[in-house]
Amino acid sequence: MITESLLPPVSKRVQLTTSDEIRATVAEAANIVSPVWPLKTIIACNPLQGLEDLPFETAVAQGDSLFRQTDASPELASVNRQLIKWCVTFLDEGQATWVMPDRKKGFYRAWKQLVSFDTQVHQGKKADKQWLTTLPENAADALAVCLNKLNVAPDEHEVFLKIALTQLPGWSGYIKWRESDQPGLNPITLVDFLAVRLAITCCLWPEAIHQPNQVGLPGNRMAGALATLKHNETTYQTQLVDQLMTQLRFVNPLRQRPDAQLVFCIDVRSEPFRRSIEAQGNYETLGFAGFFGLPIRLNDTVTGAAHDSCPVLLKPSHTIDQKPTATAHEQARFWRGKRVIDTLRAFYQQLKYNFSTPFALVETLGAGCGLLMLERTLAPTLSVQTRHRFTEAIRPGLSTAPDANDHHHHHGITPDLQAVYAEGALRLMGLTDNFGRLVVLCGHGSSTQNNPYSSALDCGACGGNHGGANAQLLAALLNTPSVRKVLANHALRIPADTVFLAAEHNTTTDDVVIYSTEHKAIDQAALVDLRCKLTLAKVANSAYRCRTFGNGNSIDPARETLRRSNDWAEVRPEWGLARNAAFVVGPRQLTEKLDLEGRCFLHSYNWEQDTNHTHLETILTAPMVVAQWINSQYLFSTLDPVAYGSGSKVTHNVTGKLGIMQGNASDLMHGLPLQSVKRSDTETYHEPQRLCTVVMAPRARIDLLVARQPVLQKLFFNEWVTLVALDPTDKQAYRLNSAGDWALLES
Amino acid sequence: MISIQSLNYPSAVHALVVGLPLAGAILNGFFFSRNSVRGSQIATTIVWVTWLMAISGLVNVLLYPNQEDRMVFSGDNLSWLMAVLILGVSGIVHHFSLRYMSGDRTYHRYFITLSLITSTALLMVSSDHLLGLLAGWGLSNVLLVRLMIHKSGWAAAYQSGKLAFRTFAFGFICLLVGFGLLANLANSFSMRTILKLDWASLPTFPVTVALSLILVAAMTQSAQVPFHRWLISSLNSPTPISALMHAGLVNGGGFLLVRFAPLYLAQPGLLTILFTIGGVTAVIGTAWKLLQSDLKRMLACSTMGQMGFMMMQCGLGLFPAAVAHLCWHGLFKAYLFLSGGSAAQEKRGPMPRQLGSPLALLLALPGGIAGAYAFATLSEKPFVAANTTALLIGFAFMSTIQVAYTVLQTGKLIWRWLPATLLALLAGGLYGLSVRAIETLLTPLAIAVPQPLNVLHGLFFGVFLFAWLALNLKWPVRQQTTRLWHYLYVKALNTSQPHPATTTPTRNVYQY
Repeated sequence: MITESLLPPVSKRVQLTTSDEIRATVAEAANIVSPVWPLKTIIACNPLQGLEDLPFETAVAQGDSLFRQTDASPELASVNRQLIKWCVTFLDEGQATWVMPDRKKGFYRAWKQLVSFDTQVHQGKKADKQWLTTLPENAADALAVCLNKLNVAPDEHEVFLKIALTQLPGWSGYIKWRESDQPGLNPITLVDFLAVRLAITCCLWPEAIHQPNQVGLPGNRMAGALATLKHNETTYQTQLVDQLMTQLRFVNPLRQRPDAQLVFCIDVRSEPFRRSIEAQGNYETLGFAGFFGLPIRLNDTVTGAAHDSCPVLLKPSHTIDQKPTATAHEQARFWRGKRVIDTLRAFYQQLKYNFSTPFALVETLGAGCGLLMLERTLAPTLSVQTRHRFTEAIRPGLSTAPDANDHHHHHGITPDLQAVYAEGALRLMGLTDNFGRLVVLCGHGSSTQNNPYSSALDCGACGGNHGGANAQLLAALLNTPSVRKVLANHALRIPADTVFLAAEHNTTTDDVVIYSTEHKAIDQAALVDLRCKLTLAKVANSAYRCRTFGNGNSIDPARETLRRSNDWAEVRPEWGLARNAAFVVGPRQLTEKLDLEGRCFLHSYNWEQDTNHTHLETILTAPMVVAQWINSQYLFSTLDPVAYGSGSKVTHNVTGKLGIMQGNASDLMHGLPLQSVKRSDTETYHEPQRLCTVVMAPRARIDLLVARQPVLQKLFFNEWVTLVALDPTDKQAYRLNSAGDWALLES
Repeated sequence: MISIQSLNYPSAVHALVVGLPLAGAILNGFFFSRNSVRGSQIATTIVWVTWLMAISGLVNVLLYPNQEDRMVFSGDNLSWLMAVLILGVSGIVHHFSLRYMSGDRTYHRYFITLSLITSTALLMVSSDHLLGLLAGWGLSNVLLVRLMIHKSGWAAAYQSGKLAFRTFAFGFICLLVGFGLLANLANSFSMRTILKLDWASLPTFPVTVALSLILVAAMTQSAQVPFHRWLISSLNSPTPISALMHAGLVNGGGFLLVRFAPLYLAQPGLLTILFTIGGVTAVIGTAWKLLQSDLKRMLACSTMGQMGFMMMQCGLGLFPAAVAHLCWHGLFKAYLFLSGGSAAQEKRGPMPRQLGSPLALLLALPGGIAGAYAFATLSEKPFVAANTTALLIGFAFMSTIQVAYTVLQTGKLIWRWLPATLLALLAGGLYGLSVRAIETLLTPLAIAVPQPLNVLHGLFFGVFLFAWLALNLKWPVRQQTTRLWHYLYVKALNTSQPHPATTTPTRNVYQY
C-alpha cells in the first residue's frame, strides 16, 4: 500500500519509453541545433540551419522564439549553470591539468559517478542524492526515466527535448559536432547531454514542464531589421545585375595568350586582389574552390599532425603525406632545433602546471615577460619578426610538399585518379585552352596574432585551414607527364612550356608566396617578373584595405596592413568575408572591368564548355552551398551579435582550447564576434543580405538542375538564396521566384 | 608648511608623477569627447612620459639615497619601485587598449577611468600621509569596480563589480579604523614618523589590533581566503582590465604589508598568522588552478595562489622577497592575460602527471641541490639557514629539481644527467639574480628579517613538498578511480566556481 502511494496516480503512470525510441526522438529534436565547430577549424554555418526547410521569414520568426528569449526563470538559470560547469569540464581539450575522472566512459557515465558528491546539484537533499545514484547506467534509459519523472507526456517528448537543446545552443551544437566528427575521443552524444540536463532539471527545477512554451509563437522583433535587409538586397542586386549586364558584350572566347594565369579561391577576399594583379600586366585570373577539387586529408610527417583539407560537405577520400623537401642534413638540423624548443617549452609547462614550482617560475620570467609585453605593444611588427628570427636561428623551418604518389599504408592517389582530379579541376574552372606559360594555383590562409578566431579567416573550402598544400598537390599532378598524357587523350592539351606553380595568398597582408619548383621548363624571367608584380599588387591592395578600415590617408598602407596582421592587440586584423553579398558564376570577362568591392564570390564557369551541365550542378550544390553557409553566418551574427554571434571580443574567455565563453561562464559563444562584422558597438560594417547567386547560363539548363536537386529547391524556393540568371541565349537577366518561375529583370 | 626650498627634486618629480596621469584624464575628458581616439592617444603618451620620469625618480633615489623628502610624499625606494611598476603596466594596458577596445561604446569613459586609476594607485604608493594612502586605496578600488563593470547592462558584469565592491568596502573600513588607531597611538599621520617610532614603549594590544585590521584590509585586496571570491568572479572584465588588476591592484595588499613591515616584524604572532593565511590561500589557489578548464579562471586561481605565496613570504619576515614576487608575478600574469587570445593554439607537452619515474626524480636531486645553491648564492642568502630563509631555498630546490627532471625525461638518463644538473644550476642562478635585483633596491628599508622556524612553517612546507612529489610521481592519476579523489575533485570544482550571480547562464542576458 505504501509503495503504491509513492507512485504517481495510475492515469499518469506512463509506459517507459524504450531507449531506441528515445534516441530517435533526440535525433529528431537535434535537427534544430546547428553544429558548432571548434576554434581550431572554424566553419561558418547557418545558425538556423535546422529551419532551412521553412521560408526565410518564417524561419527567422521561429528563431526569434527559440534562440532569442531574454526572460529566463531563476530555475532555468541554475540548471544551465550546472550544465555549463560539467560541459566545460568534460569537453576540455587540454586546458586543465587535473581532468575530470573517467572521461573515457562517456559524458553521462563519467558525470553520474561524480554527481553524488555534487552538492550544487542535489543540494544536500537525501532523496535527490539517492535518486541520482539509482539512475540507469545507460544515458537513453536515464533520459526516459527523467522525462517520466518530469511528467512529460510521450507525445511532447520531442518538443520538450528540442527546447532543452535550445537553452544552451552553443554547447549542444558543439556536442552535435563532436558526436558526428570525433566519436572516439571521450565519447559524448546529445543523448548524454540531455540525460545529464534532465537529471539536473529533476533536482533543481522539478516543475520544468510548466515553463511557458513559446515555441511556435513566432516573434516579430526582427521585422524592422528584415525590412532594411530587403531594401538593401533590392538596391544592391539591381545595381549588380545592371553592372553585369553592361559587361555581357565583353564575354568573348577569343583571347590572347596571357603571361600567366592565376587561380584564386572563390573567397570574396580574392576579388580585390585579382583586380590588383590583373592591372599589373597581361595576367588572367580565375576563381575556383580553394581546395582545388581534392578531397584529401593531409598528414604532416614532420609534426605527425593530420587534418581534413576539403569542405566539410565532403569526406576525404585520400590521405596525403606531407614530406620534407629538404636535404638529410637540413632535416637533422631541424630535428636538433626542434628538440631544443620542445625542451624549453617543457621547462615552462612542467614548472607552470605543477604544484609548488610556479612561484619560482614567475619570479624568474617576470622581467622577460615585461620586456616582451613592451615590445609586442610598442613595436608589434618588429616583435613578430624578432621572434620569427629567433625561432629560425634555433630551428630553421622545414619546407614540406604533399606527395601524391605514396602508396604505402593506402596513402596517396592512384595514377588513374590523379588524372581524373586534374582533368576535373581544369574543366570545372573552365581552363581548357590558351594556357599561359605559368599557371599559378593560389591557396589562401590568414596570419594574425593573439586571435582565437584565426581559423575563421582561413580557407573554408579547406575545412578552416591554410590551402597552400592543396594547391601544391594539384600543381604537382598537372606537371606530371603521365597525367598530361591522359589529359591530352581527352582532348585537353597542355602546352609543353606551361608550368603549374603553387602559391599561398595571405589574406591578411596580401603576400603571395610562390612555392619553389624544380620544373625544367620554367620561364625564370617571367617568374621573377610575376613575383615583382605580385608585390606591386599587394601594395595597391593595401591602400584599398586601409580605406575599408577608415584610415585611407595612411602614409604607408602596406606597413599599416602588416601592423594589423602582427599586432597582438588588434581585434580587426582583416575584415574576413564581411560584406559578402553575391556569388557570381561565369567567365571572368563578365566581372573583370568592375569594382565589386570584395563583396562577391567569383566562380569561373563557361556554359558553352559545360555540355552535360555537370559543372554547373557541382558549382551550385557545393561551392554555392558553402557560400550560403558563410553568408548566413555573417548575416545572423550581424542581426543579433548575442544570440547568433559571440558578442564582443573584449570579454572573451577561451575555454577548453575549443571555444569561447563570455566572462566567468556562459553558453559556448558560437558565431562571429561583433568586431568581425561591426566597426564599433553601434555601427555595422557587414551589410546583412541574403546571398544573391548570379549564373551566366541558359534558364532551361538551370531549371533542369533545380528540378533534380532538393538542396537547390530548399534554398531558392524558401528564399535563403536569390537566383539570377544572365541568359546568354537572349542576353536578358531573370530572377527565379519562390514559385519556380523566372521573372524578367528590367534594366 | 610648503616652501620653495622644500620642493627638492624627488618631491617635484613625485608630484608630477601622481599628477600627470590625472592631467591626462582631465585633458581627455574635457577636450576630446568628440575625438576620443586622439584624446586617448594623448593620455597614453602622458602615461609613458610619466613612466620615464618615475624611472628617473627611482634612479635618483638609488644614486642619492639620503635625500630626505620634505613633502607629503614618501619618496623612498619602495614608492619609486611601485611607481615604476604601476606606470609600466598602466602604459602597456593603455597602449594595448587603444586597439583592443577600438569601437567600444564606452571607449572614452574607459580611458578616462584608466588614467584616473593610474593616478590614484600612484597616490596610494607614494603618500607619506596616512590619509593620502587611504584615499588612494579607496579611490583605486572604486575606479577598479567601475572598470570591471564595463557594460552595466550585462547583469553578470554588474554583479562581479558589486561583489568586488562589497569586499573592498569591508577592507576599506578595516583600513580606516586600523589607520585611525595607528595615527592616534603615534599621534601623527606621517608614515615616516610612525615607522620611526619606538613601538616597544607603547602598549602592544592596540597596535596588534591596528595591525590586524590592516592585515584584513590587505587580505581583501589580495584575495586571501576567505576574501578570494571577488577575484575568481572578476572575469567579466575586459581583458586589459584583468591584466591591470592582476599585475596591479591585487598586489595592493602586499604593498600595504610591506609598507608597515617594521611594525609587523615586531609582532611574530601576527607574522605566523599571515604565513598561515598565505599558506592556505597558496595551496587552495594552486590546486584550483590545476583543474580549471577555461583560461581566464585558471589565471585568476593562479593569481590567488601566487598572492598566497606573497603573503607567506611576508609572514616569513622576508618582505623584500615578497616585493620581488609581487613585481615579477604582476608582469608575468599581465602578459598571460593580454596574450590570452592564443590560448587555444598553445601546445602542451607531456605533463608530470603523465610521467613519473622515481629513478629520474632521484637523479634530478643533485640538480636541485645545485640549483638551490646557485639561487642562494646569487640572491645573497645563506644556503643552509635555521630560519625562515630555508623555506625560500626549499622552494627554489623543488623548482630547480623540476628543471633537471624535465631534461632527464627527454632521453637516456645517463647522457642527460650532466646537462640536467648544469641547467638546473643555471635556472637557479637566474632565479637568484632576478630576486636579488628587487631585493637590492629595498636593502635601505631593512625589512628582511628572517624569523625562527616553527611547526607551522614545517607543516606548510611539508604540504607543498608532498603535493609536488605526488604530482611528479603520478599519484593523482593512480587515484583517479577512488571515491576519495572523486569527492575531492567535485569539492574543488564546486568551490572554485564563480559566484552564481556573476555568470551568464542564459545567452541572451549577455549585453555588449
